[in-house]
Amino acid sequence: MISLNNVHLRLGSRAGEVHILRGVSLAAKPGEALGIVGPSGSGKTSLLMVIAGLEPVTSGQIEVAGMSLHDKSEEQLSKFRRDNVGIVFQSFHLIPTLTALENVAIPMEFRGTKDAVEKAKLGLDRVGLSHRLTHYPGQLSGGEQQRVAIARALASGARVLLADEPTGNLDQDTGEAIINLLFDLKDKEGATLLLVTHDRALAARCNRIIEVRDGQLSEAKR
Amino acid sequence: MSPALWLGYALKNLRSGLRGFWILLTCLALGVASIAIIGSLSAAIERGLTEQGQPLLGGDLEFSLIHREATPEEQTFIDSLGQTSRIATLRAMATTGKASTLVEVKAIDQAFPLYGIMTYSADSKTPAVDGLAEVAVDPLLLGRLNLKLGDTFKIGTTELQINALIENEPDRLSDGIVLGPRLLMSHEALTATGLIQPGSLVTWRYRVKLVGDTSLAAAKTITEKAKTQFPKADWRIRGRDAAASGAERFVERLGYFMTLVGISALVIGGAGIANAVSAFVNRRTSTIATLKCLGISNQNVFGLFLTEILLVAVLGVAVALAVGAATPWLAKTFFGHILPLPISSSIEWAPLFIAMVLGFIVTLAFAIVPLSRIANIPGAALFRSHLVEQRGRTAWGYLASALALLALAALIVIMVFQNRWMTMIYLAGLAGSFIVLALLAWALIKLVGNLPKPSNILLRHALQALNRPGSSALSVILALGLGLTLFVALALTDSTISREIRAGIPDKAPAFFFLDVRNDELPAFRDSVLKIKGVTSVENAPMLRGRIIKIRDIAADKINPDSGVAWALRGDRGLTYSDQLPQGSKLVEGEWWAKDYAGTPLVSMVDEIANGIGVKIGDKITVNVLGREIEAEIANFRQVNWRSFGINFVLVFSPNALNKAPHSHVVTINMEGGDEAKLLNDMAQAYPSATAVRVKDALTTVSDLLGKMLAAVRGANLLTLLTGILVLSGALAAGLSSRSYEAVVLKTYGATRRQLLYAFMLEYGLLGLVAAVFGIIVGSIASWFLAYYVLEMPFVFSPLVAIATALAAMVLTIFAGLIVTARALSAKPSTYLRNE
Repeated sequence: MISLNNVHLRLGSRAGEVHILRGVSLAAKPGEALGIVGPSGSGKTSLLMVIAGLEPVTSGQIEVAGMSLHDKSEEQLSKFRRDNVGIVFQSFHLIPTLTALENVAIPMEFRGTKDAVEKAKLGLDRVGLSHRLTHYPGQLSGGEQQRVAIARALASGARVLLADEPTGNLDQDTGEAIINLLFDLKDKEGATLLLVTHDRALAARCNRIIEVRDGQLSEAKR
Repeated sequence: MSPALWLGYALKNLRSGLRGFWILLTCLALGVASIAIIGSLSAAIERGLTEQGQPLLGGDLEFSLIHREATPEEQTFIDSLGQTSRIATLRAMATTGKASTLVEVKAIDQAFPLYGIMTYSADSKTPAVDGLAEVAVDPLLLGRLNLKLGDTFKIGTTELQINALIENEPDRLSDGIVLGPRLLMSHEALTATGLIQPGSLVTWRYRVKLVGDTSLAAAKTITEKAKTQFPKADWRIRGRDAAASGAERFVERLGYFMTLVGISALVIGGAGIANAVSAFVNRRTSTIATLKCLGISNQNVFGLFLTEILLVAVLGVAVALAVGAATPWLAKTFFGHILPLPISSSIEWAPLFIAMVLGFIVTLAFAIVPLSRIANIPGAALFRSHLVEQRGRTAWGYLASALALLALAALIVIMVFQNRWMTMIYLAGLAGSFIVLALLAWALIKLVGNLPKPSNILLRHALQALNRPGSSALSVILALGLGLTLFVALALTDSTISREIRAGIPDKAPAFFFLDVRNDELPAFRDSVLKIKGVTSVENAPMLRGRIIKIRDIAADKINPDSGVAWALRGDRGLTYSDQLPQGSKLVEGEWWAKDYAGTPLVSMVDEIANGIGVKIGDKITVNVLGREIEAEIANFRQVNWRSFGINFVLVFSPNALNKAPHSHVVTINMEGGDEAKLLNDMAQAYPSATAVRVKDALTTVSDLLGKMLAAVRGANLLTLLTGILVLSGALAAGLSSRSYEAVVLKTYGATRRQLLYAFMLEYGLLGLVAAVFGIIVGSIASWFLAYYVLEMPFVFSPLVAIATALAAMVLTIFAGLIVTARALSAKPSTYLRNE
């Protein structure tokens, strides 16, 4: 489902070029969950961005959901994300002017999915928010917002689920409930999950733990 | 492409209200409203003049003749057209023995008025104008001569009794500039006054109420027929569409001036729109990045946000159009009684449509470039937030589209409004200002970047702020520069018009012009005037009335002169002859004729008129004087100082051309001290056929018009001031979010609010200074252009006004800017840092 081969990522900055990913290779099978751990600045988030097609790699091959991301235009990458990738952020990133239902429906509507709204309702129902359809993000608790974000990530049938510290902004109980939900849905959908976290215990729930250090990957012992 | 989805989501986004859109909304609404209001008002006045054409003209058609009445053949022709009314107008002196004043005499017949209603005060007698002695007067005359209803006064040797006071004279506007109070009398009474002598300046008007077809087309056909049937008649024929052509020209000129100001306000509003959209994109960065992470294409995100902005624009334009649509009605309801012109209260669709189209084009043109930054906001912004630099590729496609839209707007403006060349020059100036300001801002940023770093921390911070990525220097200089330019231009126009009103009378202006001083009375007239105490000098010149009918054998109405000199070819002008160069004139080309010159008639012409018409020395010019055509060769050009109020004429002929024609003289009298009222009264008693124009009174009439112009300019000033301040607030708001973050970080590390405030003041002060210098220079040029070409008056440059306006406006806008930025300075670090 995900295959990275000798991927390098260099980013220019005012202070000079930074070599963020240094020849990383990785493979993840469908339905597999990978916990990505590592110290701050090690390149965890960059790894997610590269896999989502949000950051073009400097060199190396990368293939996600059967599509090589090499030399793809921004529009092609947008379509790729729309059809294959769901992202869950630490800060939720819901659109404040849209209701929960609309937040979930919007990517499907732009994809031209028929009955997008019905599907969005189902998605919200699965995360236990069928009573919050017309609420705006500002009217929802942090946990509820993250559940909307998960519904949005999964509603369009994403095969790859990328989660960047999804519980970082939540209290422990809510965080745990969210993670249970995430794993539950991943299993039901058969999606591949890449979960970036600082929490070793959380990472341990994944099939494998990948440690990122100085832009390089290694499989951590469990 | 999913326009329906864009619309759906744009509407959803707007459910939460218009927060963050107020600057965009107001900039657009003010810009569009200024065009809609000005357009509607001009159109409503024009419609009013057309609708009221029949009462204004007093008929469907008017044949006017100067100096002579219609011949029996002409009269038969006119009578055959329908019901007719014969009117004579002239200026005369009314006197009580103790006081005298100029009056505008109008002799009417029983049929007057053919259209409209003449109304008199309630205590007036009926009939108001009766037989030999009973007349109706403008109540103003009572004050001037200290009279009351029923009293008597004299015109010439005839005693007249005031029988009625005029309340409303329907055809007053069509008589042109009125220098004295109106006096209505019968033709019999006019004959009895003895004012009608060969050569005296009487205008005979024959008005016709057409039978059957009274359309403008029918009137035009009759006009052509009259010209063919009576080629030598030299009558001026007017339809009701030209009833108040003088007033119409004034409205047109003022309307055009205001339109140019309105267009400038819209363009400056456009700069505000660009800044507001830029701020909008900044605020929505997170949403844009989220949508991208969700796989929504650039095109769709762009479409969605453009739709949102266009929806806000629909609201702004709708508000502006509603105000524009209501303007004629409001003007008529609340100001109808004081407006000197008739105004129609109906909605004027054409100017509203133009304002709407221009509003949307300008919104699109100024919104798409800042919106194109959407393409540069990566989805990755969600992961790295402030630390992700937006890769700023210049969106050439979007820029080209914006320029194409602006070109389209310019084309519409050029095609729709009058004076295409002038409009083109003005728009080119506006575009040039944009480019020069952008270059100035670029140069300033580069210069600041290369300067050695000052040791003062505040100054260093201010300079660095100008030169950092995402600096708002360009948008602030553009907004402030354009705003200040317009403020300076309008302030200078204001002072030009004010000075024209205040200092209209030069130091050595004569106190009086006496017209119609008879040839045989002239020596005695001069002698008696010179004996009066206080009179310092008396000048005189022969005067006839005539009209230029051909130039180089081309009919005058086929010639297309510069708009500034077109008046010289319109209607009757005063003509004179002289064997020497008149005082106050300077010969600039050609030779003056010899004292005893007896060859082909020669003529001297004012150089600026000659240039505007496009004639050269040696060309032939034909004038019609008292029905006779006189052809003369242009011998020389003169430069004339019109403002000296000396005796100046556009055309001065060699004596042999005109001295055989019956004519009178114009005499100017200069006074120092002495009793003006006494002189007027004494001379009116002694020379009843001469009429005196008191220069002060004449100038008051002109000042009244200028005062109205000034009020309009001040209205425009207020509108642009509002737009300018909003635009600047928009420019500052665009950089606000990065400012808040920066202020928070600096405060966290110990910078005080006062220090930050000083640094911001230094930064904006520097930007403001550059903008102010630009505003003073370009605003002065713009004001000169507006004064000289549009308002047709001499431009007065007042450095003090220009500098004071620019600096005051700069301080005011920087103060407004600081209020906006104060929000950034007072931001609580915790709010920001918690989110980071």
